[in-house]
Amino acid sequence: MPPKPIYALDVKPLAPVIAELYLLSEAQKVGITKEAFAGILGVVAGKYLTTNASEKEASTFLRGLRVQELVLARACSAGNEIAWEIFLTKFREPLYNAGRAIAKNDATGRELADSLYADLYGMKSDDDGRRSKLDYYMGRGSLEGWLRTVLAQEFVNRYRTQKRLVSLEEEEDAGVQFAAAPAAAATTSADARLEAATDEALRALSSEDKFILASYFLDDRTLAEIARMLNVHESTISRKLERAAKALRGEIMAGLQQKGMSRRQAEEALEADVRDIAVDVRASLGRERNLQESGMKSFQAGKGQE
Amino acid sequence: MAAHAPGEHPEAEQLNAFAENALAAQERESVLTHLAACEDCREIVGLAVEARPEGAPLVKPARDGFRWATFQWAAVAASVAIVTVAALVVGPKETRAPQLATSSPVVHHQQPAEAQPAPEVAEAANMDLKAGRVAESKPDANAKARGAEKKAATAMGTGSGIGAGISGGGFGGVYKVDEGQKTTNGANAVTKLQEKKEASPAEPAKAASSRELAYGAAGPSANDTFYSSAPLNRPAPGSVTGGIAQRVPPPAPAADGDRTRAEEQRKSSSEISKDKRSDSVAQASNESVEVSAQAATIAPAPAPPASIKTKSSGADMGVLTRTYASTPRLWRVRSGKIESSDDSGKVWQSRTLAKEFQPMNVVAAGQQVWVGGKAGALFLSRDNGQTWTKISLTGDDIIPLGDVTEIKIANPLLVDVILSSGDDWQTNDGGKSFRLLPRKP
Repeated sequence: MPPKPIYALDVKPLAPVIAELYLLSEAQKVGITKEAFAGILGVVAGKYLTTNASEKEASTFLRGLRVQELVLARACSAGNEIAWEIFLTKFREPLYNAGRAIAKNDATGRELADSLYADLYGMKSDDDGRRSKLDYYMGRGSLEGWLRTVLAQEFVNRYRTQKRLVSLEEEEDAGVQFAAAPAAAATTSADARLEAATDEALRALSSEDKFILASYFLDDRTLAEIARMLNVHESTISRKLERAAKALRGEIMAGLQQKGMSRRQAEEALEADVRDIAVDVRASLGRERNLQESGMKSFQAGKGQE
Repeated sequence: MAAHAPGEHPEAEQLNAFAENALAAQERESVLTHLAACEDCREIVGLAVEARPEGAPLVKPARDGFRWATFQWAAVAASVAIVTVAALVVGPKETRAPQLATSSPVVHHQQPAEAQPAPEVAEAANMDLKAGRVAESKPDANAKARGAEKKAATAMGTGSGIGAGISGGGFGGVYKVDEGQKTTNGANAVTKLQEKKEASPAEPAKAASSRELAYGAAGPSANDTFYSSAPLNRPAPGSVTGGIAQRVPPPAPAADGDRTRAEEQRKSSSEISKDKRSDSVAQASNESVEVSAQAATIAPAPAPPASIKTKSSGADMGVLTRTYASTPRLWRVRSGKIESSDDSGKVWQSRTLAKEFQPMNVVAAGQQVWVGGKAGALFLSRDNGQTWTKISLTGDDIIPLGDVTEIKIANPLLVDVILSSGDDWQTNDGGKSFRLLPRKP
């Protein structure tokens, strides 16, 4: 679905900026006129700028766009041959490399990349029959990075579908494991309090801290990986992680004591083996998310108990 | 099943912009909030980022905000620079006297005849005046000294001091000192200096100036060797030659005593003079005591260049005498306290750096003294223990750290602090910033 522009780009006062960006984008080379170019910018700005954005904000935003790649994507979408030539020269190899890196497997990676190519050339669409996925690229990040992300998205979609099937099989094969779940559900009152305290403490954390904690403890990512995701240095993550974990512990302790536990009891509750506690942090983190799909939640909660 | 309903998860566009730091703060925050709760989207960002080719851009500097520690070091560096410049701008004669007086209590060669101080002092004082003697023993000494001045000036100008200092003789000539070994040290030092002098007459002056430049960044180096040996060599020229024999055997304590006497004549407070003492550096561990060759003046940079600039024939020697009578300051940790000794370990003076600070180990090299303690506490002195700076490895005090178990000084800039947790925090800028080295598998 093309996004509904909220912000209407006023071309007139921004004409010098647009003209400058038009030259920079080399849009002419791929057959995009100045007017069409302004239209493309208008769509992007409309999508991301608030309605009351000032002229200066708009100008800053536009200058931050990767206009050259944006124009290339639109030209490809429009079926411009020169644009496709440039696109293939520039991105064919990186795309296959990224596919391989994401799938960690040559064949799957290639298949992944090939299927993306099909989408880039044109997906089925209701209105005009064909629509390139490249239309969704908005020029805020690099085109190559966007392609990688789309690949990763596609991969995760497939992988999750497969995993879901596998987990059902597992459920049949190893029913005993799942039988253990009701036992865990018979939580003691301490567990209930612990769960509530954990919930509260997690809510109090900043989203970045939650992201780091989840990546580190739930996804088993390394500090370096998290650092790359957040574009900061590894030691920063190490520092933030330690700080967040400490804060979390403090919050939970305080919460437990507030709920009537003595300090010692609270400490004992926290020192229990995490695996023995019926608190599902994954579910707690996920709970804040307003999921339309309720099945999704139970799926995640299920994984938390694996 | 369409698990990714469009409105629910961020689009690829948004996730990519997030991963490339291209989002405005507000939008970034909302994406982060989603990511914190959504395993799948974390997975997508993670995979996409991992697939990013090597050398791909976008790593912001690790620093995310103002760091007090950095500021402190910047202030120190700035003040040193200002003092240096000031000393160079102000006439050398004016600067020379006070600096010599303050930086080294021993050398009061402005008024050599005024008092009859301890023999050492007298000799020291005479050195400059009797520059002629230098000429006697080394006919071309003056000429060489002038050459050295020029070189020193060049070194100052180009800022090559650190390089010169480090390449000159390696870092921290560390001698082990036992009661019976001092003499040997002295002798070695003399030999070293003599060799050095013969090989390169320009060296001392160069070293002196580079020492000053290196102050605050580099610590000990060739300069230290030079300085520590300088005093022992001092009597060499002319009729004083015999002085070597006299001077070398009576090691630190005697010299110290003499110095103190001299100080008492000059200054009423021996405490001040102790603090002002410009020499000695030590490397001490809990049990054994190691002494590194001592670097010279603590007094702000300009002293040696200033004296060089006087262009008196004895200027070079002035630098030497000024640092005479240095006893390396020893450091150790005893029963939870930092102790230092200026008389080769006879008398130990306890020092308190901060309340509730429990030192565990101390390492010194050149003017740098590092003290590590419980819970990652770390203190650094760059002036041989006169002033201290608390250093925070992580940039804040919030994170609990392991105890400092070891401090390894590779050179004044490159220092490793090892914690009991096994973490290795390394600085390569002399303590301004630290990074946690990745653990070896």
